[in-house]
Amino acid sequence: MTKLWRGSIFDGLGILFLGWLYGVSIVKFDAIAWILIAAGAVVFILSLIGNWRRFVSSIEDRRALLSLNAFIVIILVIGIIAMLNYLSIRHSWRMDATAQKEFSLSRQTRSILRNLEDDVKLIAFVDESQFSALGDRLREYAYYSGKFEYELIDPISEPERIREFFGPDKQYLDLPTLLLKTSLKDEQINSVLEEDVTNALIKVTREEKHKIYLTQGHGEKTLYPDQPGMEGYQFARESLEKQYFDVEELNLYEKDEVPSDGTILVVAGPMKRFAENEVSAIGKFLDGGGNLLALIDPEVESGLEALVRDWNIQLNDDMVLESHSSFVLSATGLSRRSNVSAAPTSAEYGEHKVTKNFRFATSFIKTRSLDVVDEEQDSLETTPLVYTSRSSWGETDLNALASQGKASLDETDFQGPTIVAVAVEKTRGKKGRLIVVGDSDFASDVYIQQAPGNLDFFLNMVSWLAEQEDLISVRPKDPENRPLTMTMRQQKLTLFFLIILLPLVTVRWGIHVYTKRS
Amino acid sequence: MRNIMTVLGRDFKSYFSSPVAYVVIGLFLMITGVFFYLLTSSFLQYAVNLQWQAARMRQPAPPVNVNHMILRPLFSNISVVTLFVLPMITMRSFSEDKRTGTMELLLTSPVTTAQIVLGKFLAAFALYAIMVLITWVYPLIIILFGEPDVMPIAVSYLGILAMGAASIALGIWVSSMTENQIISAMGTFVALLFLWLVGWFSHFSTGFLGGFFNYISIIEHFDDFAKGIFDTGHLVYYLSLGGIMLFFAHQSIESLKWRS
Repeated sequence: MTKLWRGSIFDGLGILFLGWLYGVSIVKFDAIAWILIAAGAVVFILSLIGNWRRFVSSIEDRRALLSLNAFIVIILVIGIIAMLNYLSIRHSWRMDATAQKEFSLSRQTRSILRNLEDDVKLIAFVDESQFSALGDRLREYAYYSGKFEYELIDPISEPERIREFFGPDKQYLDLPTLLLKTSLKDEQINSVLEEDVTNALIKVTREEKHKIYLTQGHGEKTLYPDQPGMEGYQFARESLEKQYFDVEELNLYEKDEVPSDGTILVVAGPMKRFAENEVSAIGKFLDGGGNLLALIDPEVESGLEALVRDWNIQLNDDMVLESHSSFVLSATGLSRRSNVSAAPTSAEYGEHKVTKNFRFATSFIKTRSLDVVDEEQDSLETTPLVYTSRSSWGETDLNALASQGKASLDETDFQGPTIVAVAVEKTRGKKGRLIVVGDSDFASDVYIQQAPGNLDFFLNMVSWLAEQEDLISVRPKDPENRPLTMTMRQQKLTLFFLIILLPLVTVRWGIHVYTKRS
Repeated sequence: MRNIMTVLGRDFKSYFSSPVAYVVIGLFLMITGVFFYLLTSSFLQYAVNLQWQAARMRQPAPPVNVNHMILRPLFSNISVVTLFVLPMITMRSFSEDKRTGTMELLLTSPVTTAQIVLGKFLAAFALYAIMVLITWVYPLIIILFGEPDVMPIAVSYLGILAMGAASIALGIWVSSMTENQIISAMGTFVALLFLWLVGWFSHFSTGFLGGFFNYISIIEHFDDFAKGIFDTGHLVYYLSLGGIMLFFAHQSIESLKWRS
């Protein structure tokens, strides 16, 4: 009987552990879990009482003392290793060795994830074929934030999960559907792209929506064109709305002031002069802590020149031209051809949050150049954002350009590289930010997606003005083509060599060694 | 160091003087070779189908990627096969000495327990490394006939070696506790299987416990290596697991002295 009881100390501990494991793995400590725990405790205590004499004498034994010693050392070592691992999870160094950095998230996404304050749960309803790729991406998201959790669901094999999240009446779901949930709100998107996932993440963690007003009534670009074109900002509006901005048109002439809920005012390519009361409304908005994005084309007197000058920016009365030259092989030999374009491309970006790590080219269509009035001005921080190339210049003889279509760099012109966009921020008093660009067409429906960086540049400017530099725009990485070409013969040879010959040779060699030794 | 090298040399030679090493390597190569052949031929078939469909639609063929479709699944398979093969390597390390009685000789020789454990571990690891390095023929074939991204391959091998080192250390510990090679191999296999499957428990538990189960899963940490991502966190996990297992083996051998 005593022998039977000997091992029961461990049985008791085992049943106790089993009860605990049942409780935590079934998520709820129900009756079964408590019965197991109680039974384990009873067996343990009874066996301890039954073996009390043996137990006491074994403690006094020298071997038991050594066992206890070894046990303590083991616990200590496990503790140290656990600590080391805990630290290594928090502070690991991670490197994506793939050539295209295909598993890496953009810097902005990483910074948003690191600064997450609320718990976010992402539930992705996707086709099973997308599990692997999306899982890879979301795993990276979870790596950068302990507050980000995700779950992948194949709605075809688990249709009941659709009803769990979308109500009992929901039968079908467009794939992919990603649902992001926080205690604050939910957001649903139908894309698996990093840009969309991250912007949805920003939306669910952000409490307020920023409002952008776009002035109207002076021939500006419109948010709701009849059809996408030069005069429309439809794509720009859609992109801003995706990033959780409310965009609305505003007629200042009627209202005489910028509504107080507006964070940013956009003046996009006015063709006519603003009235004095409008200019003063804009000035008041800026002085009161508002933010202005002024996109002012050449050959236009907008009425904002003086206001912009007060903010340390000079609007030049010119048009930036860029000369290209190329060599052409003809019957007479190699000859150089030069031509001039009125669509200069960015050659360099200034050091600023808007253009930080910006690697895409932007292109401007009929732009004027800008200058910084006073480099030493210290109540305003003025930063040129975009420079054109050395082979560009600001042509001031616009009449000759329009009538004869001719232009050349003269003494009165502005020598390149010219500046086409400038950002200004107040360093004293009430906050306020201003960006002036010498062109409004670069963000129109026709051109915003033509140059690789125009959309990103536009969105970055708006994000900076809204003091939301974290809203992001990431281009999806193109899948890399890494093919393999093998003939049927080569495949069969591989099969023969790898599966038959190589293992056979190894085993034969083993037999040889074995027979030689024995 | 010299003592460790002596133990290493003795054990390493003993692997190759019996048919164990050859059979293990042969089996391993055959299984991984089958995986490689199946992955390669299905990739080629898939690429041809894509091209054919694209030509029919008069569109350029979409990109295909050998790293995603052959190498990553291949390394994942190799890592799983490793779990089955490793117990055959480690089953004899201490059990053989215990059975034949050479353990007493070792313990009474001027070699410390730590040196014995390390020497035996390194011998098994050397055999494993040779076995794994022969599988370089697979990426080599891909390099010969295709355009793979090479850096992720190197990272995957680092992962396979790190995971193998941790598993071998576990096998050494199990082997240090028994003189029966079958029990040693089965014990190691069950322990590795547990460390492999424990990741699944994480799906049924939430919070800290779910995270903990996920963290101790030996295969979860390999996934990043197979993708081509090097993370010091995973390396620390494998090194700690290996370290703690060798420490247990050391304690187990030490206890032989005072238990007898």
